[in-house]
Amino acid sequence: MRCVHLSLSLVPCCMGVLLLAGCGGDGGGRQPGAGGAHKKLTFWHIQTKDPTKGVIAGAVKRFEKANPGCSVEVLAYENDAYKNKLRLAMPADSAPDVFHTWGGGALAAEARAGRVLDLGRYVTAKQREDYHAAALSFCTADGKLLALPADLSAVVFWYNREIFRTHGVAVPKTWKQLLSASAKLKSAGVTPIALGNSDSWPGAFYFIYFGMRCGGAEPFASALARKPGKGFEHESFMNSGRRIRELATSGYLSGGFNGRNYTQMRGDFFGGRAAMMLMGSWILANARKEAPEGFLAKMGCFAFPQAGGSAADQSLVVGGVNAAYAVSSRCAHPDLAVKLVLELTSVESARRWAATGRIPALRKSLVEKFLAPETKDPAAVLAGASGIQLYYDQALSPELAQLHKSTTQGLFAGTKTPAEAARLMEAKARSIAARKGK
Amino acid sequence: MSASPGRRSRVAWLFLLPALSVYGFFALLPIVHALGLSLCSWSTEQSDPAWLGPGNFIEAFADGVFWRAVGNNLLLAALSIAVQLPVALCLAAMLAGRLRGRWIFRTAFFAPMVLPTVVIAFFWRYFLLDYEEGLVNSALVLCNFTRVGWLGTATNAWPAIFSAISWRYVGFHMIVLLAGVLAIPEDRYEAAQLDGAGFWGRFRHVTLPGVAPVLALSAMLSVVGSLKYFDLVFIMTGGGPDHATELGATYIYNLGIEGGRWSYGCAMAVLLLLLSLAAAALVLRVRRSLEAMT
Repeated sequence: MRCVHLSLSLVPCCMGVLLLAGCGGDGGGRQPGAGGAHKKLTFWHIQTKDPTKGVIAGAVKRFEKANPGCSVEVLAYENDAYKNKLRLAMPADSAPDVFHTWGGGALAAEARAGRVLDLGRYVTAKQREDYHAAALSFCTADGKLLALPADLSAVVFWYNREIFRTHGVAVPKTWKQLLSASAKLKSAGVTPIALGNSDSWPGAFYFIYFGMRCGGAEPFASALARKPGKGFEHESFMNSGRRIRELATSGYLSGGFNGRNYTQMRGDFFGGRAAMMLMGSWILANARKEAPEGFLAKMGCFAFPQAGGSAADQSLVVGGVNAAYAVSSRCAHPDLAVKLVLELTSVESARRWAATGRIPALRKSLVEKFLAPETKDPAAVLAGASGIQLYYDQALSPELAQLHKSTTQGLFAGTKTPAEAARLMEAKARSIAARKGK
Repeated sequence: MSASPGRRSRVAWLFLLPALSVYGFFALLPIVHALGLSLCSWSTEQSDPAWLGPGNFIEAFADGVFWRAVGNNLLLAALSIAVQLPVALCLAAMLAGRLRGRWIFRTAFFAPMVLPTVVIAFFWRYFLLDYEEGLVNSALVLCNFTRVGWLGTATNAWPAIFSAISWRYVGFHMIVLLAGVLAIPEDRYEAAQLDGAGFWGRFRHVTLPGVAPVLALSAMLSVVGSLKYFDLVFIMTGGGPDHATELGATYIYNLGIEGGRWSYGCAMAVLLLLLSLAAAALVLRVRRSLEAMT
């Protein structure tokens, strides 16, 4: 808040008054008759639309009821706007008490700067048992529990059952089978795989999966931890690059894919113009709203195909938490804030969260019975996985994440060779490590 | 009744105060702040800025993507002067004459200027240049050509972006130059006509020298505008694919804000500011020597 006070004292006072008038909402005003000191929490999240907006509102209401004398001022921002809003509010010390996060490297970076509360002291071991272990691990860094997860997502191949049936295509188990299925679909005039990569993250899923099917999860973990070895120039990343080059030139992807975006990509799939799409399970929520009547029933999913002749564990899944909640280290009422986070991720919240077509991040036995019918398939892929690899752009620090996305886009565009992309990543990782060492 | 000079300047300052305070607070202060931050190390992982010295500038000088982005800025400036201004001048010269229905053309060419950038960017990205549904590709298919990836390929994205930018700004320069052309006294044209000058003669010897000062202004706006350009590129390609359309400002956003490198972003912004100042000074100098010649 320092910055805000400073600016108000400097701006010509009329503007200051306008600003104040604009900011003072109807939120946390002192309620008449509420005895004792009234406590207020601020909470930012990204569920701007129902039904998930209602899930959050319900949890906040339950929290306020259970904690009289404490009110929550809730602000919801649209996804991309939120990322920047939070990223700038954190260092300016104007972050909210409780905030939405995706965990991973970005949250860890904030925590290293001392801006995130370590929940370890507040959340008991027994309470932690309720959460999905991998989801919890994405919210943990440097031995600190930084957030509690609400939503777990898995990246799987979605396919249009009707198109597969019409063209006599079977669900592929191996990458080779996927390629021959694609060839069949292409010759029948159907776009085999929808891709819109102008935002560069949808293509990055391929990079992760190709690498993982070839060398497992270990090369990335070692490179991330800067263990001695080949780092980001490891053979499995080179393999990712080569496979992406093959795919990009195969003619199996949507035309002009690097210039089209995520909205157009799912439009191609929902509209029946493309047969497959590699995407996170959150796509189901989009399908409910955007796809034509009855399309959900046509949507099937399968795990990313296996690489033939690889010794690596082929059951690994790419995924992450798409909603977790953390507490600012500047929060004046940390015990209350943690209670709010616990309510946001409670079994009751999970039940409502599941009803919207999402996979709650609680342990399987707690949520199984709530899952919406269409979520059962991706949930089964998750359950069958020996481990979940967090999306690289969330596991990496923000700076490396940017490079990972742009080099992968370059691989798709043919402006980067696999070796170049790997070398750039390794060089950047080294320079960041050197900078930190200083 | 005349006031003393001291009193008059005090009154002048009083009138300037509101404008100066807004300018100072929203332009000068952030620049000074950015200058200070550019000499620190500050990224997402750090709680507070720490003194670094020239490290960020050294990094920027070795950063290939930054120079590629600046190169794109300079290319945009050069192309704007070489393509947009001549086209705008020709349009202005034509529309200054007795063309029938010229107000329709004037309005049509100026229209992109009053549209919000987001509308223009969406129009170009989704309506004109989209691979599947875009008008351009539909026309190509109609004429038995194959579809072209405009924004998604490194080679085509830049011409596509430049077309959109030109479409937006040619009308603006046309209006500015039109004002210059209309300010040229009619008798000069009559004198030139008596001396036997044709359309090109009049254009070369009357119009061109007459609009030179306005042309210099347009050139200056083009150069400075090109060096700090951001919005249309940001919406249409975000600087991609793989930095093909990256500009200084989009790179500062992508790495400085998205990548959490606050102070490095500030250092790049300072370099871009210096470049803009140098370019503006250069254009002013060229303008002066042009004026001395005519």
